[in-house]
Amino acid sequence: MTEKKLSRRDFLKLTGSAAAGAAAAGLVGKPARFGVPTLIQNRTVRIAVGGWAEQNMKDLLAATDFTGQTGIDVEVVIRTDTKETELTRIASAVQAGTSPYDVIDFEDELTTSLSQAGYVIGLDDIIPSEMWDDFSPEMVEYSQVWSAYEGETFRIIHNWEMPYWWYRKDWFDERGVDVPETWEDVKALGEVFTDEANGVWATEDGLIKGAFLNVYLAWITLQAGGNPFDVGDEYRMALEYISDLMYTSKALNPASLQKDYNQQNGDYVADKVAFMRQWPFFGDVARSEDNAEWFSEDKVAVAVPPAGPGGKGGSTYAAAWGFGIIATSPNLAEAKELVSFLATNEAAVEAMKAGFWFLSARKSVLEAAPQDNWLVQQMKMYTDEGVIGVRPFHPRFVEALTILEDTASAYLTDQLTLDESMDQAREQLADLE
Amino acid sequence: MQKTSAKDKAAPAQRQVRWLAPSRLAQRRLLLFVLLVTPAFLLRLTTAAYPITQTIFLSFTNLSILKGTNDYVGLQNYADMTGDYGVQQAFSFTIIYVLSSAILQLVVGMLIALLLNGTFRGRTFARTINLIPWAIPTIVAGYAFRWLLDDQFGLIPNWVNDLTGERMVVFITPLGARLAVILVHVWKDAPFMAIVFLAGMQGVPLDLYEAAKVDGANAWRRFWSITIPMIKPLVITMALFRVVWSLASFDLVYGLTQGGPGVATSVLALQVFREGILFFKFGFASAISVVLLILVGIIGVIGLRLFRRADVTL
Amino acid sequence: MVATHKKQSRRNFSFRWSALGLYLSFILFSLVVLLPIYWMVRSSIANPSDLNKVPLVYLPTPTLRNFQMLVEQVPFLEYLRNSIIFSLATTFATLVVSYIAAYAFARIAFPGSNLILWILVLSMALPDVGTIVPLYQILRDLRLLDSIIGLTFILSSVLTPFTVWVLVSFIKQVPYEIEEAAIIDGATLRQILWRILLPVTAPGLVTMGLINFINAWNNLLYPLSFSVTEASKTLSVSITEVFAGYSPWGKPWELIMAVGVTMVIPVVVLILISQKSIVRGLTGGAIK
Repeated sequence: MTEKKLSRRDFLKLTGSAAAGAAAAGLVGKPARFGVPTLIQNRTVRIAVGGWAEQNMKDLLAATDFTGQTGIDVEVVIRTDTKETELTRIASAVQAGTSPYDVIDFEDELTTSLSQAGYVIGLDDIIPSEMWDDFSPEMVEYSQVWSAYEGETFRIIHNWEMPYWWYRKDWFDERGVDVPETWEDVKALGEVFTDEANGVWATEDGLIKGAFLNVYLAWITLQAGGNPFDVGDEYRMALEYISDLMYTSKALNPASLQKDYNQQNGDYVADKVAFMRQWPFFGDVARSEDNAEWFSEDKVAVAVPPAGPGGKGGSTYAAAWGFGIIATSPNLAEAKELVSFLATNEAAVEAMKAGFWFLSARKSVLEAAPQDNWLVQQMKMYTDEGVIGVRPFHPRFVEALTILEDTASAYLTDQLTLDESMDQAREQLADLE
Repeated sequence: MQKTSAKDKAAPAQRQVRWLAPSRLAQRRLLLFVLLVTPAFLLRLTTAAYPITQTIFLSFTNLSILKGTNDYVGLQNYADMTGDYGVQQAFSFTIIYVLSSAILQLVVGMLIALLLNGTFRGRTFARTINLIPWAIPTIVAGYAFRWLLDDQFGLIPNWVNDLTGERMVVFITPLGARLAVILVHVWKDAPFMAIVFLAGMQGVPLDLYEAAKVDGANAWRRFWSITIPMIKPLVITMALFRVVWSLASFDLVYGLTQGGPGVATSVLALQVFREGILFFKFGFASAISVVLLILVGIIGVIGLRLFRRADVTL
Repeated sequence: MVATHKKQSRRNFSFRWSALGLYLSFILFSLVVLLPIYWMVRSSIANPSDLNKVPLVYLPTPTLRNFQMLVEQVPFLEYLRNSIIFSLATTFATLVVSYIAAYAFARIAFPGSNLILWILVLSMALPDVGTIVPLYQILRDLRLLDSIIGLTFILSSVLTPFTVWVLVSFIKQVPYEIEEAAIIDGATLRQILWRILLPVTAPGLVTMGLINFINAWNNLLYPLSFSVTEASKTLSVSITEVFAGYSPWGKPWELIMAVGVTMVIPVVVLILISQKSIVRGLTGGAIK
């Protein structure tokens, strides 16, 4: 009997010490919430931004004294980093007739879905008149395609950026080769740079499924002069070209199909890649302290991307992030006031000063931006060269891109022939209508 | 109160609470049963009954937020499923994935449990590290293995390269990707099987082994005729739930391959996530869920049969 | 073959072989388990630049930089606290509810009780992700959104069927004679559950407690879906929140590994503590 008691005491001790741990943990930070959430007070609005923009948003609100001016308290909450995880949260909340936050900073993929679903509200009546004039023509054109649904604007963009073409100027100089200007030039570089045994490739990309592969498919098809979602000749050219790069001219590492951007960047800074397409955040990564030893301007030079059969005008495209208001927001009036404010020229400039997450081709922003900054210079170069096309659009973007990724990935890994892959894509896309 | 008869000892399957005689107090026994089971049932009822009925109901509608449709369509969703390439592929891989990983996990889990139940120096160490794979969040594990198998900086491809000179690129062939998904699943969850089996083995009365030894049974025989029968209900339970969980989860596939290349490693639960959460096609997603529900129902019946049989032969 | 019990292996000739086999399997087992773990730990304490080098850097100069960044990027202490409370509460609630239910299933014969056991399994057949929309509605109606109680409520319920099943097996393993004797002595139900059965089923209970704790600790879907602020978000959610290069694109592998390692450490401590309880529970409960 004594032994039994011992074991029960242990059991209690275990629970007890665990509970004590919890109690101790309860002493830190903001109080945990056990029961009913505190009612959201009047004149409060919640804005969800990614962790990478949290501080910037707070700085912006402080710098402009939004709360002092309007009497509206703003709580900045964190949204997740992918469309998949954030949709998990929004879809269930909005279906339940409520919303975890009022305003959200969101990407292209979410915009088409949320606006068509009626999950976000139209903003035309709250957009300040100065905004459209302040947008560059490309940004206006872009917004009409990507931020609008049936003629109404659902998102006010503040981040407008494009994949850049980064290359190792030091390597190009060393080998005495020129920056490629056409697809044929790119193919030829396979022989120049690729050293398969040592894992060095002329180029690499992040092509894993989950909206990574789609970016490249759209980018290449745009260079071919078309929209991949039409599944037409341009898309066929694009797929043939990608397959050629991977398996014939050996310029593009086929292992790209299992990589995301983080892996792609890792390979680039490990001297495994001569050039690549990548979003501007790579500039941050390359210049970060972690890569201080490796970094030199020569290694992250930026040039205009090689033009495809479609011509120089569609060598790359811009994508954007912007603000929208959740339809089931409990504080619609305050949310509108906040978004209307964020759309002003003044706020746009202040936001850019708070951080480059808020850099776009707005005239007032570009004027106020530090001219010697690499990103500003790159954006100006691409704008001046006129290489920025409109991102290939499909009204049911998230579904359509999934279909293309499934079928294209199957083709590129030899599970389907090119014809089968395209037939299937066409068939499934037709079902979306 | 009625004394337990000697007959009960002879027929262990009928070891039941006897202090309330069935003839006189059946109602009180029922009441006691209900009382004990109620909290668990209340919990399930509040959180499972509504989702299940709603899912079944939705599966007969074409509720799609983007299309703006919400009508009763009978079995249309189920008919559509048979023609849907993604669902078909996902269905076949789901079966492969669930069965092969469940069987491997059972076998490996049992071997690990046997090891951890042995006496050797370092046993505490082994028992401690055993649970680490399972303690890693699945998404993190998926991500970690993507890096472990990276063609440039992955540990395993580098070793393969050193040994053979071949560069190993795992996820760009369907076979490689499928193997990786299944093996990582086994790596991650077999330890979880093992710890339950281990606890079960420790609950086996020692005198059974002693008696068998007196009868001259060797270790192998003792394992098959004592250990296995004694923990058989556990083995069945674990297999059953392993299958149910694998059917319903997609986070490993999500972290490791995103269902690629092509749709080679796509599973039904991933399709539910896509169709429901990403595409807002709640009707169609619900229909896929119901297919999973039916699969689980069938497996549950089989599991219960086995469970009862194991119980009787104990 | 691996020997299962200590006394039998001492006897004779076969001793050496089984011992050798035991140690060989131990080594193989440790290698397979630890290799990926080593890779994760190594990546979490390395400078990112060491991760992208060939030949591989097996032992990078250790740095706490990644953990530091993790703490800077997410409200770490709040998340940690929420994780602890959520996991403990879930473990406790699940164990209590399941234990008494399992006793009923194991010891009271009742026509249809097996059907009920089957319904329990069936009730968890929907993929989690298919249930979050209705669950969100339930939590909204209960006013338990963005709260730890709401999360605990949902997850305890999800873990209950499995826990009941396993505990039924454990209780059935216990020879009924012990209870029988107690019943004859006039023990009440509470005494049977608490004083007779608890000590003998302790290995099972502690094991299930550990399993449920880890399940809650690792759960991502529910905190992700139902939590918005640091009032109830848990550590696992930080996987979706860490960032590199001030953008959403570059999911930083070294930070994710830091999250992973951070989440594993408390579990290892818990395993060590519960090891002792499992072993003592065993000797304490010495059957017959």
